[in-house]
Amino acid sequence: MRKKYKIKISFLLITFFIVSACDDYLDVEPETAVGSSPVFQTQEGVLFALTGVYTRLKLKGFYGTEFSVIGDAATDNGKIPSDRESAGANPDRIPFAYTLNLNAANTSILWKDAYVVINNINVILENIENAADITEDVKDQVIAECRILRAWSHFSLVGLYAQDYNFTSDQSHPGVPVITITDASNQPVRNTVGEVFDFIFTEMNESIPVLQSTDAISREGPMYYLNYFSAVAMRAKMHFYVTNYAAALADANTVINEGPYTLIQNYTTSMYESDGLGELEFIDDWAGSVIVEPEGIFQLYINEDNTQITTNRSIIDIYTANNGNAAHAISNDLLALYEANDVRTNWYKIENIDPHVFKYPGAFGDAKDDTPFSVLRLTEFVLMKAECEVRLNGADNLARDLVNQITQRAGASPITSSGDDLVEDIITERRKEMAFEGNRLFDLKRLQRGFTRVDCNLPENCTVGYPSILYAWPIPQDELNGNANMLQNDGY
Amino acid sequence: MRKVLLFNMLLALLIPQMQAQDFTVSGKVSSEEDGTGLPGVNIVVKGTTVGTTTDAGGNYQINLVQPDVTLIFSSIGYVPEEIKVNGRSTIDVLLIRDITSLAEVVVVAFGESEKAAITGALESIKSEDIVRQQQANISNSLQGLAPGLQVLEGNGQPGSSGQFLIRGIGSLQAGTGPLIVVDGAVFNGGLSQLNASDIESINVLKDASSAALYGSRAGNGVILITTKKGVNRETTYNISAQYGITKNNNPNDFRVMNTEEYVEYYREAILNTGEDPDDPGTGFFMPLNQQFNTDWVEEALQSGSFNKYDFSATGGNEKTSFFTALGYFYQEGTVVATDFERVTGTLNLDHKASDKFDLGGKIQLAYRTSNDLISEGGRSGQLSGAFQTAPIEPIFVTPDLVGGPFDGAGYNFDIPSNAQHNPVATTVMNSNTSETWTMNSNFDLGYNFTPDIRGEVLTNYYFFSTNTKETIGKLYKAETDGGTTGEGRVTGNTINFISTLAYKKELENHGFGLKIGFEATRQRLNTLDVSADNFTFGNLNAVGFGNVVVAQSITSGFEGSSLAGFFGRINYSYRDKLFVEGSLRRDGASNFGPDTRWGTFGAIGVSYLLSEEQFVKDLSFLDNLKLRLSYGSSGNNQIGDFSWRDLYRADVIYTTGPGPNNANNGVGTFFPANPDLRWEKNLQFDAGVDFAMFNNQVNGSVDYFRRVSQDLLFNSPLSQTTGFNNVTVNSGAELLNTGVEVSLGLFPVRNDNFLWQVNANFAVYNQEITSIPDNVVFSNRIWQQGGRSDNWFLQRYAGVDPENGNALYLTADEATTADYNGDEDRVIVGQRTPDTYGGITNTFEYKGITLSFMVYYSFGADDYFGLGQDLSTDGANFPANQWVHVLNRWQNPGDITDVPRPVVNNPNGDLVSTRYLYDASYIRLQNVSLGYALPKALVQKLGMNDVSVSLNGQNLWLTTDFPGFDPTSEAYPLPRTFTLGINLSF
Repeated sequence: MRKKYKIKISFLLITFFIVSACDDYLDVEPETAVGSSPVFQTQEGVLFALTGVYTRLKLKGFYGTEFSVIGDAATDNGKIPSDRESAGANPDRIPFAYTLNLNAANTSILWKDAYVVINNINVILENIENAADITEDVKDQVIAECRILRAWSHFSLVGLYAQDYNFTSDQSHPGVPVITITDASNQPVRNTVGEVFDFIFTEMNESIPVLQSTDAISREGPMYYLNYFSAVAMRAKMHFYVTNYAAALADANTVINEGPYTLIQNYTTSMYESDGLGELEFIDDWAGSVIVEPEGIFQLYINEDNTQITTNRSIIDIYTANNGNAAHAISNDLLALYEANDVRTNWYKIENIDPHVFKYPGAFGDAKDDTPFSVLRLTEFVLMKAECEVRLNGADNLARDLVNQITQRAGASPITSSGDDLVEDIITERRKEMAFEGNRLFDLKRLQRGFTRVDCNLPENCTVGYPSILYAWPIPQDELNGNANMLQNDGY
Repeated sequence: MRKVLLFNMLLALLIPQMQAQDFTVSGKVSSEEDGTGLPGVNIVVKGTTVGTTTDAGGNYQINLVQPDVTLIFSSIGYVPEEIKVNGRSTIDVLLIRDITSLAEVVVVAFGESEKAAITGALESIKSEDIVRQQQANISNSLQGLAPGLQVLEGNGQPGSSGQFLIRGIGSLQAGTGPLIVVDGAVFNGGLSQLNASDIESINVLKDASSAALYGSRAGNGVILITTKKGVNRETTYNISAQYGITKNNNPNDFRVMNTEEYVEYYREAILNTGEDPDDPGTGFFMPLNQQFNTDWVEEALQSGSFNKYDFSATGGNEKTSFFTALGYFYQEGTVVATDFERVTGTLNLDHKASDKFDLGGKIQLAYRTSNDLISEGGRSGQLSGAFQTAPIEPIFVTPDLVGGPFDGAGYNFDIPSNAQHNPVATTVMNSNTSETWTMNSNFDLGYNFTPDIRGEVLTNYYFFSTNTKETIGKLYKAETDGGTTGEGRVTGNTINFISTLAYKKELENHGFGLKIGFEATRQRLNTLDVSADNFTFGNLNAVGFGNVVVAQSITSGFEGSSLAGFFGRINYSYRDKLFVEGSLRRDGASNFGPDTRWGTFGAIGVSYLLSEEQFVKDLSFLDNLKLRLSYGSSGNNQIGDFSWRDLYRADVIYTTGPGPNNANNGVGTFFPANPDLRWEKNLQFDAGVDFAMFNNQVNGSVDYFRRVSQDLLFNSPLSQTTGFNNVTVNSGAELLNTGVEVSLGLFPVRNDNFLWQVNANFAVYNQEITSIPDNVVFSNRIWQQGGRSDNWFLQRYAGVDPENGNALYLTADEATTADYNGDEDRVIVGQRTPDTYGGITNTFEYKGITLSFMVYYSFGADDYFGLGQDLSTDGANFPANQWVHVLNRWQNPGDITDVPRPVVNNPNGDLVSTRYLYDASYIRLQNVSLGYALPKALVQKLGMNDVSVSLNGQNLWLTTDFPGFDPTSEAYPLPRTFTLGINLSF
């Protein structure tokens, strides 16, 4: 009897015990991922989130592949290889960028990923106050870096999805939405180009002084993170592309005169083992896992292995023919600009029929598809200064001295022109030296010029005039699907 | 006193005399299933009330006035037998279990029920129908056995699992598979762990009423698997062995070109391109004279062996009973270097401690290992290479150098990338293995508080651990120099706790039942994946012998969820002819936010046994007629564990150079929160009728259902400026599935010597998206209002222009065009699941010989022949080998054909269109089984209970228009299996 009683009681107890433990029971933590609130409890978490922002600059649509490539692909610098049409036609190698066969279905590339960067920054800015142990210095620096990278992302977006700054005299033409909040239900309208740049310059001007006075985060590899000089360099480029040449010159002077960077004196070459093509001659400063180090201002190390968050097609896959599938050839229009003994012709190697871009040869060690990508380097600001000095001050001698540092180290003939011809020569030298660093399209827009592809294997778009709908890429269909307030660009 | 004694003596004298005049029949009534004697069988002389019953051993004796009467043997749960005596004095009878019997006890949600009282739609599948089929995975054996249960068969890889669909596709983006319950506990493991021989029955709960007690998870139906338990009888032992072979099946003679055809085809393509195939200086050199003719498909396929051995023992007494079994299964695949092996052990114990208290335990252990297809996507698999590798390529470059299995030098790796790779070298140097250990244990307690009130507690613990390892060997030179190996570990466990309290009361005309309960489950799963490459040794390719290059070579993952629910069920019956059942369940699940995680589901069902009414009883041909109606709701939470919360991922690593030292930890946004996420809901109406007629010669059931799926989880697009593409929401999307399911049992012949039984079932379905917020196009399908969710949305192929041999297509508005536009010109051209499917099983029995065969049909589905597209690219994939179908190519103006003119690197080849969409309807002879049981008398002399032998064939015949190996597995042939089995029971 007593035993039965015990059984009865334990029976009920077991049930009751389990039932009462129910509430916590249904809270399961994800363990290998984490919600935003735990991330921002500590300074360490905030810094991890900041590092995450840098990582996402390397998303495929941003510098991982597409934004790095389209600046040249969509101009007279690039063409689809004649012997590799099918490989180049694979959609993940963005063939539409070369053919300029643009439509809303294929241009989500930068749009999506730049806004991922912006959202990650906004999450940090909204939550940074929650970090209990964060020091003021670190907090100020994180906020400044975040605001600068957010401005840079908006600058990249407005450069691609809007017409150039001077397209309307009052910058009233549509730009991109300026996003400073986190809200998944937000359906923003487009700000005007004027509003976007007001935002960009306000952010830059308020944040750069913070970086000038603060260096509270210890990190290795200065080229890979923002600092005062890289921020000033970014602002110089922003001014340059809105044709505020005076402001650009001032910032370029700061970078050149005060920054810790020195121009590479000579482009020397050596033989390097190339995957699949045997030994090839490359410029030493451009081959290897660190490139143009003395003059590197801001770089990203593009790696394919980190597939989940960056890219499964690094720029190596598009530019070089490492694995026999290069999607991008160099146009003879550009190649013809180099003199025969110009060392920089080593950036291009013929594989199969066409010359391909080997400016980023990769293939070092075990990481065949990894390469650093130079976002900002001193050469660009030397050329910028030269152009601005001629335009603003007529300082032809100074400008020639500057640009001939670049020609001389490449073994090319010095530039001797002056006046408007000199400006043209500097622009051409810029095209030759900065080729495949993602700038040509934006230079053409800045100069309000079209272009003609003489070496053209396309049925259309061998000549693009100015103005052109091809200079303001269509807002992606995915955005239009999710945002009833979005306005499409003219022509799409 | 004297008088009485005298009377008795008289009587004693009289009776023998009377017996001598009458006729006596005796014998034994046994169950056809296992040969055991059946107690309590009623034996009546037809047309009289004279009768008797069998004793505990199934023996009977009856005195008859005349020797030519007919005896009726009947017992609840068995088909009645009528036997003419014809002067015989001994008549042994085997009674067949009546699957339609209303008194039969079947397993239902959280308990058992008499079939008569069931108000919902439930299908029972018997163990012998599963065991008979030679399948490594029981999921594939269920095809065609239950109307309403569709099995989307796995490929021919032994052990691969089929996917279940119960009553159509009821979700757009969440899971569509049913809940699987083994011995009362929710089962999250793979069905390939279960040995068919250990299974007692499988029941399929289709409608809301029968499934509602599983509440939130029952929206896609429930499959209840019950394993064998011990019984109160003398210990019996069972040994069975099966041996056989598997062969591949190729009903439509699908093959690729041989060298002669290949050279002819591609020389023509090269000439069409304006190149010279006889000029070695171009990249298009393809002379007529070729040294080799390698049949790579032949090299990749094989005939395999099949072995299955089972040992079991079962028995018990009044207090304790047990079932224990050990099983071994091995099957070679029909593709080289694939196989499946399994060892299972099980122990099931039940103990009655007293009239009030009983307890039981179960432990099932399984180990399974398989060699799976290698790297299906890349250039290192045995099957992916077999079809496309050019036949002009030799297997070996230098046969003399082939010294051993690890001598990579001898194999031909000099094959151009488009012409694929050497699948023979693959099987020697590469591998893809998987091993799984599982344990599934139950512990249950029962306590009878009073005769009417019983409490039960069930605790289930399930554990599994899986190791997978895929190796591309160092010596395999087609893709990666130095080799690469990826190893993955997955371990997981599930704890399930269920407690119930049941009350039962029978009054004169009324019966009441009440069951309330609580259930909690918790599931956890951890993964760890590592990879390494560049091995030191040619023949040692484990992760430890290679280099771990980047930090991301090691990743881990976690899945976890928990669920708790309260439930209750009320049963009421009136005069055992009207049954009402109502159930309610409230569930909370961790994969929804705190404010929305609780949901309530319920159902009500009514059944009415019309055959108990006098006006139906008057219809003498009707043995049984029952009407059923049910309506209710159930849920679906198969959406991933953490979709409701905002998540950061921790692997956003910022690399600033090569190697692990330059990897800097970062975190970043993952997906946005949606705290409003809640259950998908299914509302289902079911009306059914069960009937039996003509002395049970004809029986069956018909069901109509209407299933509305609401609050469907949907990835709603966001403005990308938010940093996210889409968010999972419960949208206004709604799906409607309707259908009719019929099952029929017939006994065309049933007499003493010969039995012919036909069981047939078929189902007809329709599905419609009744509402959707936005049209969605993906994977060649379109979701739009009024359409199906499983359609094919493709541009239509219009054959070949007879003038120039170019492919033609139809635009959306029916115009013929040579310009392919795979986007805007797509139209709906078919559907992925059938309109109707079903199975017919015929069983013949004659003197211990049993012959049965099962035919399955599926009509109305279309399947995209992706392999066919890869193998007919009109030159785009030059110089890969092609399907022989392309030999029908256009050659000269005026040729009428559906295969375009080949051109090397054809930019218009390899395009997705209806050219490769085929009617995937088929009829399959799924199983044929011939068995012979030795006569009982002989067997008993040998000291046995049963000795039988059987010949089985699986997937023997198939007819279909689908041109690949099989409509359910286009590339990996679904094997034909032939086995010989022997079964001893003693």
